[in-house]
Amino acid sequence: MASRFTDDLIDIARRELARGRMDRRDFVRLCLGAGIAPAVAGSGILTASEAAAAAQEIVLCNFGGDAVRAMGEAWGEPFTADTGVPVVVDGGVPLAGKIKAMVESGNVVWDVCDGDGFLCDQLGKQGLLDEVDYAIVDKAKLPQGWAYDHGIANYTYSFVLAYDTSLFPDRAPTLKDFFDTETYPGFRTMWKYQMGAMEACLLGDGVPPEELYPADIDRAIAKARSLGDNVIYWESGASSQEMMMSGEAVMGIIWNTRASVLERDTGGRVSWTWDEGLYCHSSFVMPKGHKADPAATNRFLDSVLDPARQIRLLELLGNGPTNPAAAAMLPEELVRLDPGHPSNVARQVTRSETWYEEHYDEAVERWLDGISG
Amino acid sequence: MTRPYLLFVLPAVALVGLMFLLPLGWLAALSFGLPESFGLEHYEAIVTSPGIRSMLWTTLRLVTITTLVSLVLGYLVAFAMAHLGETQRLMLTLFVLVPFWLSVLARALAWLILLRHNGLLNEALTGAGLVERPLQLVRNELGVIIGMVHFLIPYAVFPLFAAMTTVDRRLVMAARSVGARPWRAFTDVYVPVTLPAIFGAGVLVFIFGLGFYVTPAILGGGRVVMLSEYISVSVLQTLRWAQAGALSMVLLLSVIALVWLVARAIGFRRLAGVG
Repeated sequence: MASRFTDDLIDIARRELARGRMDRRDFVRLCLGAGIAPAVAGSGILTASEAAAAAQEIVLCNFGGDAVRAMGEAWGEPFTADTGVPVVVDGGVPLAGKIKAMVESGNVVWDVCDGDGFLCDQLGKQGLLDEVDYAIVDKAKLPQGWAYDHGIANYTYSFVLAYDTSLFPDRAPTLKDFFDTETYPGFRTMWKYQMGAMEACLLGDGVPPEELYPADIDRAIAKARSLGDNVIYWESGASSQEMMMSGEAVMGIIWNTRASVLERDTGGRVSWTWDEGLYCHSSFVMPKGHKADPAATNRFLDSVLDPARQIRLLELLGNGPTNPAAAAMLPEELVRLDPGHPSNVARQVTRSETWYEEHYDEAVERWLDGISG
Repeated sequence: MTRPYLLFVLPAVALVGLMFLLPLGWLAALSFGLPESFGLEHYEAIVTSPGIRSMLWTTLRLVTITTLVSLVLGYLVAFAMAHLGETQRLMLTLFVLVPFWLSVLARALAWLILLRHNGLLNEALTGAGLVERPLQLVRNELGVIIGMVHFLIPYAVFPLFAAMTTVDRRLVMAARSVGARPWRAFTDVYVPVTLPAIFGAGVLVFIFGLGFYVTPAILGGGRVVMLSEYISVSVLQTLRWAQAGALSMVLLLSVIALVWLVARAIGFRRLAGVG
């Protein structure tokens, strides 16, 4: 029944597409939504003019949720207003595996993908990404090292220590307190997929910040296991937020974007500290052979670095600017929320992109093995 | 006469071949390290890597426990369904079916809200003074088993129920007439007659259990990593496609072996419920 319905849907869509009443990319999305491979469903129906039309828009893929609307508003709409090129935001979760699969299949639907900074070099060296054209993108808008060959730093974020203020009414906890379940009973939560959690374990175990990398994964796992049954690992940002919101967990190493929303939504019952946080940056990359006109895509990347637009994203989503010029323009009330503001960066440890580029795969795998079973 | 109609199945065959068998073959090739090289190191790792071994052991252990619990509970429900009046049977069927239609995610989250340490059940228990501290019912292996059993019980109930409706009641009466007590008639006559269905239902539940992803991820508190999730991480995050391919092949072959085993033991037509 269901499959007959989707077949029918695809059939109608195919006819709409042939008559030019439907955009090819909408068609691809529809096929994906219906669980049908667009490579097969869409073969042989793309005329040259349709291909040209498809090249006239940019498909931006990010991790979904509020980020779809926020990136559309902060980056997509102003870019379209400037250039007339539409930006479609797709919350399709562009994990490295999906980018690889898309590039290798030869049917690249995404033009710009959101991903961690170290992925620029990691995937770039595997030949999965297009190079950034720094004749169009202004390198000067980025700090040293954040303008990669195969991507640009688009926003900053942090893993921060969030806590229930009923347990810490006078001061913020430290990572030492985080691992002290005797004095401060209750569940803790960390990300299941290693990042941020590993660093918190090492810092909590007394590793000096400057010696954090190269990271001793086994030492981190031992520290994590010392929490015994007092730890719940969060799967998604939403679940970390829900655990702190409901009081199931009393402390958590979570994303700053979730921490600030929690503080707002709980009226201050849950708060967070930048101290001992892990400061990271994300990036925009272009999958190799992406369909949009590279001049347009690169122009879009340059527009992403506009400080006013980055501040708008901070307002909407809690992700900070990567353009250092933004700090001076920041309204007072946003300073506390910006992971990349110099006053907040000073209190945190910065993630080593070079370490992650080389060790991410191994680290995630060993971490998962270590915390489970 | 029949030949023109054979053409009608061609599209279906082509679809399965193109969209299922072809990618599957590609996956098998990947698992041997092709196209770059050829080797068995990814299969070797399944046996030698302590991480993979412990993950496989967790998977096998939890699925086995889940299967046994589902069979016992499913047998009771099926037995009640087979021997109750029409109205009660309808009610029971509904109770088994309604959760069956709910998404696996919704069900896992519902269990979480119900069973977590500050959830409904624990608040009621501590509030009533029945327990001193909240019971750890989810965010661990117990939670995963509860969630999986709840999901898989219908898969045990319906084959068992189908078998029980075909049991000749006179067999039990005959046992009673020669002096067997009710329990003896049940264990010596009724259960053996339904044994093939128990076996079939058990394998069905086991096979489905092997592929669980969402339930362990949510109810396991992050510390219960089963096969599907491990494969997913290898594919999407760590880009170890060859290792993921090898694990997938092992999963696929174990499932095929299990189906073959049942087909040998009780016949494929009976397993599929068409006999």
